[in-house]
Amino acid sequence: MRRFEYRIAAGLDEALAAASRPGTVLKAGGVDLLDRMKEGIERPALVVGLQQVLPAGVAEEGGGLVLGAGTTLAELERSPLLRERAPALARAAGEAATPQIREMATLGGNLLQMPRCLYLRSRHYPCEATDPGGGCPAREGEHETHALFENEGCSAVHPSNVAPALLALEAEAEVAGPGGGRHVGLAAWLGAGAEEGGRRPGEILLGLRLPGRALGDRCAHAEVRARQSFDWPLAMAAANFNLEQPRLVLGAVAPRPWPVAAPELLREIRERGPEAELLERLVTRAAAGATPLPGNAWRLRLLRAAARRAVLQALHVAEETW
Amino acid sequence: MDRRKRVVVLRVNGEVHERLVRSADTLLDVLRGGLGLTGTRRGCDLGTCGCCTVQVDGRPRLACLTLAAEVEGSEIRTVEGLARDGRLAPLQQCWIEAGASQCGFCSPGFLLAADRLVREEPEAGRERIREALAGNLCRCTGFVKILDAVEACLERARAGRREESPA
Ligand SMILES: Cc1cc2nc3c(=O)[nH]c(=O)nc-3n(C[C@H](O)[C@H](O)[C@H](O)COP(=O)(O)OP(=O)(O)OC[C@H]3O[C@@H](n4cnc5c(N)ncnc54)[C@H](O)[C@@H]3O)c2cc1C
Ligand code: SF4
Repeated sequence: MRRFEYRIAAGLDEALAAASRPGTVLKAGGVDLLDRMKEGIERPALVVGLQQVLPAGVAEEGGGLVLGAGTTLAELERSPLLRERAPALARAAGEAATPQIREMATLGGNLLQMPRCLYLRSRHYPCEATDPGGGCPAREGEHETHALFENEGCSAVHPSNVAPALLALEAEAEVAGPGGGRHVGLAAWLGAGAEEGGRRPGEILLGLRLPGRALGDRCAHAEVRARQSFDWPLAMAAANFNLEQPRLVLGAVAPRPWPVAAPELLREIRERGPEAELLERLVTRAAAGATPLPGNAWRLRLLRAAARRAVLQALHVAEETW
Repeated sequence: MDRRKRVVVLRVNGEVHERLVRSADTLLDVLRGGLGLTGTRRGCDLGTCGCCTVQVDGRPRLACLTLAAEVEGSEIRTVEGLARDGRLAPLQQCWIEAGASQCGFCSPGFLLAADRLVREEPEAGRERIREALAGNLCRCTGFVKILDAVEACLERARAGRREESPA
């Protein structure tokens, strides 16, 4: 790695100042950041550690749960509170990466990590995402794991394992920014919903709040991978039937977490149970509008499988063979 | 002084070391270079292979993605710290008996990941062992003997406890 100065921010003001300073990067667990620095695609002069600034842990508050942005994936996986009240999220965290990485990676860093497009992560390729007008080598090249939706421009998928479950749990983000703090729906903050409120430059994620109405054991996360473990998901889905209006959110299929708009169908499934015909309509709806690239259309079947599994598991129905 | 350097105090296997390091030095750089503890291996150096697994405050972490400057005050354990008074730990003994090392390059990382499991989950079965070792890659053994070694170690400890307190 190129040389840099390292400082641990003593307080939020110092961290916020660093977040807006050119040549400076913020570091939480550092799994993504150090990877990028070693690859030479990130060359900061100053690295500012957030360990003393970010809250960590899972706690009950006002009937819901609050999660510090500095909580590690391993802490989420192990938390008895989360396993009981938001099992989809505990599972999503526990299936990410490897045990060692889960001990280091934080919730905030997982949501904000850079996408895994191999061209983007190599300094040898110009690409649209870092160099507007640079073109997209993935379109002609390796794009098996790239987006099935919204892939006209950059088609790298949003890589976070925990994002779909968090959106299905209607998580609200607490962020600090140069202009003050605010609370905003995580979907909006990640640009994954119709609502305004996207991430602004220099903002730091402090934590997430899961409302009480979304909690309970009728939610699940399911993912499909090439290997049993230690592999990036090829498709994932989170379903939540605890809510008055149930939700289904897909992951690893678009440049952002991908909520499925099927409110009536989801309510019908909650009322009548996951009857085969209803479920078929739902997974067809989930795949609707996809614009797969030549090398990744096969993942549409995995998307359907992930959605089906998440719904069945959320409703505690044993998965039939299909 | 160059602000890209700093003095760090590291506690490794119970011993305290003070070193001048670059901010860019990872824990792996300092263990191998500064402290000469070369049991911790440099494999991919990008977080993928698990060869550099050490324990920080009892939890397995990757030394290649940990800055030396941020583990000050933590208890760091490497493979050199597993044996006590010149005697191999039971896990290491089982490793040898099962033939779990071939070229041996990945063994230290596996041992540190497995040690956490053996300490914290005495009832773990094959499935849990597989999960706990999912972050370590071995290109020689095909993994089976590694799983056998850890299973044997857990089994031996359980048998020992049964003997101590027969039901
Ligand atoms: C081998 C391997 C396999 C992996 N497999 C998976 C997988 O299956 N699923 C998955 O989801 N991930 C996977 N990952 C990625 C890993 O989970 C992420 O790199 C990790 O979660 C990042 O978290 P961090 O705390 O280390 O972030 P950092 O590297 O510290 O930060 C990442 C980015 O977010 C910014 N940031 C961090 N926290 C905040 C905050 N609170 N506010 C504002 N900005 C912030 C940083 O400035 C940086 O740009 C894998 C990684 C590796 C190396
Ligand atoms: S998919 Fe996006 S990140 Fe990958 S090469 Fe194309 S523009 Fe770049």
